[in-house]
Amino acid sequence: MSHQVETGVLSRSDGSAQLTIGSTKVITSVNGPTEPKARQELPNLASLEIVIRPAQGLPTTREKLLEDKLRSLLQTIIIRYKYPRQLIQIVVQFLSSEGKSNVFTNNELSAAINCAFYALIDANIALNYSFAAVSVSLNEGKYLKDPAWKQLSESDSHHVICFSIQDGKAEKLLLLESQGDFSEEEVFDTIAKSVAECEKVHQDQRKFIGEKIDRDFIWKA
Amino acid sequence: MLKQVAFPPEVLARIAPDISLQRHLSIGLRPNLRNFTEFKPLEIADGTAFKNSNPNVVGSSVIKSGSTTVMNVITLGIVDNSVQVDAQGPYSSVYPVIEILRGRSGEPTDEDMILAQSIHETILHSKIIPSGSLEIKNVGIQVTEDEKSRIIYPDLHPEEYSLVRNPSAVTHAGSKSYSFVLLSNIKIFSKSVSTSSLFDLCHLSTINALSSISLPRVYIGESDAHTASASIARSRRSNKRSLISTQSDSNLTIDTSTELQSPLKLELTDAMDVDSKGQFDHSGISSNFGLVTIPGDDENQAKTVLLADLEGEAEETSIFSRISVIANKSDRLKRISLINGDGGISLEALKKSIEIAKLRAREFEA
Repeated sequence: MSHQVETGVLSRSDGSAQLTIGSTKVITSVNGPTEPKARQELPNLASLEIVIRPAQGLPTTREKLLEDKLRSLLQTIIIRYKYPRQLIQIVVQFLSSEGKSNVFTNNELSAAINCAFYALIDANIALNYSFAAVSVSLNEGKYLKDPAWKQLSESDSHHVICFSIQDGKAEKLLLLESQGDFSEEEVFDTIAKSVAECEKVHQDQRKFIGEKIDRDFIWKA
Repeated sequence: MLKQVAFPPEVLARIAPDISLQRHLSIGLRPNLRNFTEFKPLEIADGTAFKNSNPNVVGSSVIKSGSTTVMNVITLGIVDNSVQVDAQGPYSSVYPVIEILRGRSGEPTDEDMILAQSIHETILHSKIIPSGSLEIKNVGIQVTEDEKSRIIYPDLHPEEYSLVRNPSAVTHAGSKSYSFVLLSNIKIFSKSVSTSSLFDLCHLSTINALSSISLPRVYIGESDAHTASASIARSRRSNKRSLISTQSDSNLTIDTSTELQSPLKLELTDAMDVDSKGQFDHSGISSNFGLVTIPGDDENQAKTVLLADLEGEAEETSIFSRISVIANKSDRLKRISLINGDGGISLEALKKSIEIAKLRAREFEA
């Protein structure tokens, strides 16, 4: 499935990225560190404000749950003590998502995580480690990466897996969202297979960020 | 010279919950005095009181865990299958509204919304409510005969139904198909457990309430305003003329007579095991765990401990690594939600929590 990335797409935000994976297209902006509202301010850490907007219609509880998952992931990745009493605002706007149905959020969650990575890099926010996510479904035991809506609806179980990356290798399992009907072996097998997939996503990330640095800065010969 | 300040334990627990938690754990205790992998006891009350006293309620459940009480009431809505926006899959879910009562009124908090949405998605993906079982079949017609109205159902009174059936009534009742939707209203009183544990309680109470559901029959009611334009049909028994409303906006009404109700067919029991009777055999039991690292001192090394069923302010605010597992009796898993906050979760920890969740599901007696 093709990944297409572009950063710095929004001129007025501190960092932004647009990512297309399959039929899911998402644009993410990062603003910060900036002044928080008084009630958001934390004395020793940066506070995070995460807003997710769907491709169609107004945000619902579905987006609230996605926000919660993204927040609990990012709050450990961003080095928050570097920005005490500051706010980091992340807005995720889906531009298109495969959906005649609101039932599955896997591809959206994985796209939001991967897009947030590029946007955070673009905004120069300090991160503990790189991270990469994949969306996976198991159809009769068959491992499918980035499943389309039809494959998801026929799947026995579906998973979103996010790994931290250190030295180009998947290091720690940061997030796992599995639903459906599956066995313990299947879930561990899926995690094991996703290690390579996350590393593959990270190779794309490295390549893209390398090119970005070449482009954004002027280097002496 | 600044004087050293000492705080009594209960004050420290308020101002520095993380330090208080670590002090507790380093001497092998949790603030709630449970063992590390001990779950909080649960009581499932007979929740049918709501159901029996109110005809609108089709299923209910009351669960207590310590002082936390979860009341769940399921009511019905009716939707026209042709206008449903969501592409309907083979399985349905409940639409919960969760309210954690905190002594204030106002819009729902994020926590309420997140819990409700997680319950909705989990029940859907657990594949326990087949969409077909919510379909409304055999819609009855209310007829007025000798100033008395009665309801005729196609399957119970086939002969009379074929008589009263007239073309315009058929277009209404026959061309459209309807389904029930399950609206669940969950109220949580005196929350003392963590959000992860609240999910477990809400999940349990939803399964419990679902298994008590009996669905009523539905008929096309007679709207008085339109009797003037009602068409006339002959009833065999009386040879008198009875009136049936033909208005296309005549109302679908829920029959409140309990004798005609039929239980909701759920895929709750284990398909592999014919003797399986338990309501949680297939749907599973939700368990939650937290991982916290106790920093080492001169004598001891830092170690990570697994705590089951998080409870209380200290555990809620200072444990960021969490695992939530739904396992059923036959060792199948329905949901895993893992978030690795401070990097403390290893695959072994995940394995161990799945193992405990499975054990709990096997030994769970409703």
